[in-house]
Amino acid sequence: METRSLLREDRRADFASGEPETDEFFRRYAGQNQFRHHIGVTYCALAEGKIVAFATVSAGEIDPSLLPEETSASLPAYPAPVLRLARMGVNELIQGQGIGRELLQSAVDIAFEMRARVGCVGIVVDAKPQSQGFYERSGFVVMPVTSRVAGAGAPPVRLFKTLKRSARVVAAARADYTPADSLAAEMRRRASELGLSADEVRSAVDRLLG
Amino acid sequence: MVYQRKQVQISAFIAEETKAALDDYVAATGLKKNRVIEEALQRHLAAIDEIPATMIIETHLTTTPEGWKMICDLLDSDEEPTPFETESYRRHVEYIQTNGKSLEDKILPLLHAADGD
Repeated sequence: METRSLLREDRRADFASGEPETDEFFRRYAGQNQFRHHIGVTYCALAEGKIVAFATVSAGEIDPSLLPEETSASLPAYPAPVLRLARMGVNELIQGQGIGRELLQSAVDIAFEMRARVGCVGIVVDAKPQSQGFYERSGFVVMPVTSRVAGAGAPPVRLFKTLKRSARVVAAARADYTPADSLAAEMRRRASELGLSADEVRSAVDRLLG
Repeated sequence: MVYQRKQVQISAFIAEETKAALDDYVAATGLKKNRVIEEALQRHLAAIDEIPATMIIETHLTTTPEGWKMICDLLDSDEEPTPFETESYRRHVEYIQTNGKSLEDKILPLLHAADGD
């Protein structure tokens, strides 16, 4: 099983999460958003080459509608960069097995990378009402949003979690998850996306080490 | 007889650059400002309802002052992670270290059963 970003040739037509809107997004718009508009990237979990779950992320920002009376030392009063976890779907046959948890953790990894490269204070998810409890157990809190939600249908619930909180989880588990594990995971993901063979990966590592 | 809709006045603080762009546009086209603004608003409101909600990923979210304060408080907080978070991360490490096998072993029997294997 692997997790990697969506490829153009990935088959999406038969993905079924049991949520028609989620499936419609994945089938029709995930590819457009990623390959044509470049406004989001979809990460997929695959088992035996078949996509069994996906999560779409993009860069975003939270803007205070009015300047708060008291400013905080932790955050200046102008837009704060966040990772948006905009959509997530899991094949209806394997829900409840931990795939959503794994994709959420992958999103946290991406947010840490974003923080290191361009800045990021946390993650904002768009949750369906039935998923709100899952995100709250994962440390998210409901964030009031004044932006108008476009389109038809019930608006999603927006929840926020700081990366500081996630960092505490990672720090506690540091002994079990070394930087070498992180590097190996990243190389595995990129090698899969680029379609590299084991020999090509070895060649790249040899070049890296001189 | 010329039909005239009832009109009301609105006002708004906008960026100087936006105001300058509007001034340039009306000077160049000869259109009235109120007509440009109303048409722009109508087109904006119509457009966002024509796009399916499922396609839209809103990247710019505006929160309330209370929401902003909550975010600042969370960034200041040293609250401990929940057991659920800690367990999720432990599973994530296991997933990476086993190259995905920790989850694959759980889901493949379900997928194969559905396929009738």
